[in-house]
Amino acid sequence: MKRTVITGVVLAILLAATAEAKTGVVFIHGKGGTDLANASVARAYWGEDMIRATTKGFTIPHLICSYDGTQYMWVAGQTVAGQIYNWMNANAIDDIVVETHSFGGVVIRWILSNPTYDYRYQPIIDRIRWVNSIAPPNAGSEAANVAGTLSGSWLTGWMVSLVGQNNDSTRNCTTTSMTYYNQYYLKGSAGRPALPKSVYNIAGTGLWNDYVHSEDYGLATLSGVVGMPGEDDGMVSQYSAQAVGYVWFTTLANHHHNRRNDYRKIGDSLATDF
Amino acid sequence: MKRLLILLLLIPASVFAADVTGRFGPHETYVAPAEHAPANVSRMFVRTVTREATSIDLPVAGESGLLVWTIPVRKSASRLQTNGADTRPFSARLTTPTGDVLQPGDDGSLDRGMRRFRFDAAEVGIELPRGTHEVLHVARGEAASYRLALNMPDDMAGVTIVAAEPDSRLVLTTLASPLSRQPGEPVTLRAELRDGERGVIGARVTARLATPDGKAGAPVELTDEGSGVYRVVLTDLPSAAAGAWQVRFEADGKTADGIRFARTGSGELVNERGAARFGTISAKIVDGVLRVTAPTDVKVAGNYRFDVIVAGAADANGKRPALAWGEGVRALTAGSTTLTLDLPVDVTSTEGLQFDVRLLGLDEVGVAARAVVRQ
Repeated sequence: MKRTVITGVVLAILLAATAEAKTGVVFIHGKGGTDLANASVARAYWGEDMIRATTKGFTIPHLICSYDGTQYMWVAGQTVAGQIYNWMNANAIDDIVVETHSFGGVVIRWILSNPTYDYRYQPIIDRIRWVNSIAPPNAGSEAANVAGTLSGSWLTGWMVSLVGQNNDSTRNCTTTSMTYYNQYYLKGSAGRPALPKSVYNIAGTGLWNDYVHSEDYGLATLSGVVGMPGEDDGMVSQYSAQAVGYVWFTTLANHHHNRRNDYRKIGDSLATDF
Repeated sequence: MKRLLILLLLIPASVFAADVTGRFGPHETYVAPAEHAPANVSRMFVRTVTREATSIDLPVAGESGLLVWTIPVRKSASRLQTNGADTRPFSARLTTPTGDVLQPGDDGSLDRGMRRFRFDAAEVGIELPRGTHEVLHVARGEAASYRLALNMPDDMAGVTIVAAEPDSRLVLTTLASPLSRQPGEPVTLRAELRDGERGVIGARVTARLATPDGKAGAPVELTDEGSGVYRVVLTDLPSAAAGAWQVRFEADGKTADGIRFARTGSGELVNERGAARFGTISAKIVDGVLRVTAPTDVKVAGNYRFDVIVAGAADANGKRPALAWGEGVRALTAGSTTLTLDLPVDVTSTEGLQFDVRLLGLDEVGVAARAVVRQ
C-alpha cells in the first residue's frame, strides 16, 4: 500500500514535470560465470518470459546488462555503467527502472553509493526512478562463506588445483566482505548515508519449487549445510535481502526461480511499475 | 607543457568530481563500524580425502537430520572446465550405527529414513568441482559414528565430504577480528562450542589462515578457556599480503555426555595496506559550514575517497544522533598533505560533536586510514 502511494506520488510528479519522459528498463544479472559477459547468456539468465512480462510484451525499451559474473562489484559496476550510459544516451531514456537479481543488486548499490567514482555514475543515478532488487545479498550470503570453506585453498600439493577456487564475485558476497563494504563503501544500510534512489527488495523464502528439478536439491543441500538464519531461497537469506531498502514483497520462488517468471510470476509484478 | 596537458587528460574525470555531502534523517543514529563480521555458525564439518582412502568415519552428534554431501574431485583439472555428465558417477555407501546400509545406486526411501539425491554442481551457484554431486539424507541421525565407504573410480583424485546436522544442538561459532586490520594490530581468532546451553570444554580447536591469494598456512591451536570459548591471539599475520584473509576452524571432541563430534567453521578479516596515517584531526565552523581538516601522511600514492561522518553529542545511553556525511575523491601523492571537507551541519559550535574520518582506497579497495575524534 505504502509503495502504491509512493508510486502514485512519483508518477504524478513525473507526469507533471516531464511529460516527455521516456521510460526504460534495465536488467542487471547476478554472479555466475565469465560467459555472462556474453549478451545472449545474460539474456538467458533471466529467461525470455521474465523480460517479456516485465516489459509488457517488449513494448518498453529495455537493456539486458551483461558482465563477467566472476568479478568484484566495482569491476562489474564499470561494465554495467558503460552499458547503461551508452544505452540511455542513444535512446534518450530519462526515466529508468532497474531490475536486479542477486549480486546484481550489489552492483547497482555500488554505482548508487559511489557517484564520484566514475563520471558516468551521477548521470545514471539522476535518471534512475528506483531499483527493484530480487534476492540481493545485501548483508552477504552464508553460502558464499561455505564456498570459501570448500575451496582448494585448504588442500596441499596437487589437490589444490583440482578443487574449485573462490572467484571475486563470491568473495564479494561473503558475510564478512559485505559487512566491510556496507560500513565503508556502500550506502543504504543501518548507520550509513541513504542511497540516492529508493531500492525495493524482494526476498526469496522458498526452496522446493519443483520436485523434478535437480536445481532444487542443490539449493536445499546448500541451505541445510550452510545453516542460513531464518528463511532463505537456498543462496540468500531473507534478512540479508531485506537489509537495504523497502520490503516490496517476498516470494516462495527459490534463488534459481526468482529471476524467472515461472514458479511465481515475478515479472508480472515488476511490470506494474509501467 | 603539452605533455602535462596530455597527462591531465588521462586522469579520470572522477578525480575532479565535486565533493558530495548530505544530512542524515532526524531519527538516525550513528553506527560505528563493527569490530568483526557476524560470527559464522556451523553445524557441519568438512573432510577431503584422496583416492587411497577406502572409507571414512563420520561422527554424528545426533538429534537432528543428517546430510552427507559428497563432492567428487576428478584427476584432470580440465574436468573443471567441462560441463558434461561424468563418465563414471561416484556413489558412496553409507552404513548407519545400527547396521542399516544405503548401497551405491540405492536411492533409499522416506520409509527407510534414508534417501539419496543427485544434482549437478553447476546448479549450486558457488565454485565447486564440476560434475554430479550426491547428497545422502538421513531423517534422524544417531549419536554415533556413520561409515561412508568410498569406492572411487579411476578418474577420481579424491572426494570432499560435507556432513551437516542442520538441527543439531552442537554448534561451533567462530570469528576473526578485527574486521579491518591495520599493520601491527594483533589478530584474534575465537571459537565457541556449545551443546545447547552448555559450553563444550576439552575439545581440540585449530585454525588455519589463508592469504588473499588462497595459500593456507599451518594450523594454530586455540586455547580452551574452560567455558566453551577457545581463543588465540596472533601478534602478526604470517605475511603482509593485503586483502581478505580467510580462516578455517576445525573442532573435534566429545560432549559432556561422551558423544564424539566434529565441526568446521570459518572466519575472515581484511588486512589493510597501511596506506596512510592521519595526524591530529580538527574541525571548526567556517562561513556557516563545518570544515574538517585531517593532516595526512600518505605512504601509497593513488586515488582515495575522503569520508567524514558527523554525529552529535551522546545521550544518556551513549547513542549519538547521526547528523551529516561528506565524501570527496582525492588524488594523493606520497608524503604529507592536508585533507579538508566541508559539511552542512546546523550547529554553531563543534562542542560535543564526533567525527568518524576515513580515507578509503579507490585504486585498491581498503581502509587506508581511519580515526574517530570527539570534541
